[in-house]
Amino acid sequence: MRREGWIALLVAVAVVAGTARGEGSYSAMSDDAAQAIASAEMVVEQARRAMGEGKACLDRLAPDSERVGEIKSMIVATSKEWDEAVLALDGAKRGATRVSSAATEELANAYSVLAKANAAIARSGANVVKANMAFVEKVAAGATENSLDIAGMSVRDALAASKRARENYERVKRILFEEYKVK
Amino acid sequence: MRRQHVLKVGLVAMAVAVSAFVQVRAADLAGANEVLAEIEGMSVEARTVMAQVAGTGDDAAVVEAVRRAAAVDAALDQAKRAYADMEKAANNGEEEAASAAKAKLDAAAAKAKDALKGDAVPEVDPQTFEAWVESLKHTGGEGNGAGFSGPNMYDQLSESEGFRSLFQKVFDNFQGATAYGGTLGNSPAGDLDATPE
Repeated sequence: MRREGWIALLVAVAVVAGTARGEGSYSAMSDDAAQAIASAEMVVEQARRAMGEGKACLDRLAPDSERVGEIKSMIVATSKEWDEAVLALDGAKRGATRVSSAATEELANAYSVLAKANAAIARSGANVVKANMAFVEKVAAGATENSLDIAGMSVRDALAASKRARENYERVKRILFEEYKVK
Repeated sequence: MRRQHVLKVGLVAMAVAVSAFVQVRAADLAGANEVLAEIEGMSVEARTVMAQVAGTGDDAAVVEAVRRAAAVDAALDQAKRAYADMEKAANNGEEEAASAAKAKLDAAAAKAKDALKGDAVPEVDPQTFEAWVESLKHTGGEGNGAGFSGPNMYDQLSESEGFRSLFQKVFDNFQGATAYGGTLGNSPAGDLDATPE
């Protein structure tokens, strides 16, 4: 075979090998994102059920309970967490669908990272809802002040941690946006 | 003429190489932030378990939940330090140091996961534990930026927007969300279009 022939053969082998490796990476990234989304969906579903149970507990609450003001404030904050969780889950799904069709492997990775970060936000938001509903349930059940203090503190800390998780997501998005904006 | 051509090709190759390095760095930092978001999420989950077991009468479960939460937070602190190291190394172009810091970050994530869900309840050093419990007394309320400000937020609520109607609002959101459709367009958390293809 002439020299040009060998070169053409080597290029063809490299292209085929590169394509195969790329497809494998795309698939692994899609799987990672899908796994994160499935996990987030499960927690969102648990939160949805907890809200149904929490609503029933609210009807049993004495209007003059000392904890009513605290619950009111928590519900306002938790409502936002729920909205964020649902939106983030949708964002995770949208990101995941773009992984396999991304033009380059690095862009596919960016969508996978965004999808996973969104799934983490969905999980944390839904977990805050669960914590809040657990608190409501305990107040309605007449739990001791000590245990209500622990539960209330946990909800407040969960809210703070969830906000930090969202800030991390914003950084993920900003870094990737800056990266792809300049190209 | 030929030398000039070689020089041009060399310069283009260098530009491509530098560009590739910058891409890796940005993607790595974004990935590292995603790991941090996951660990923060584990911290939320640990608190959720605490809220769920408090008052159940199962003291052992409460102690276990508190120990797990403390261990997750300890891992989160490690992760934050590793991320800071990674960012610094990346900014200075120290690729090896950045990789080492990323390895520490991943190890902290594994530790957090194990602390939250592992078979063994994590051992927490008594001093660390005391400090953590003390820190709890100063978090979550006003000034922590959690969007929850205790009594002040209660005062801001109008009389007409009663307690049950507020919860109904939450419940309505839930019902609207079961199909995951309709009003999902404008959230920063869900907005992936900021990353143009």
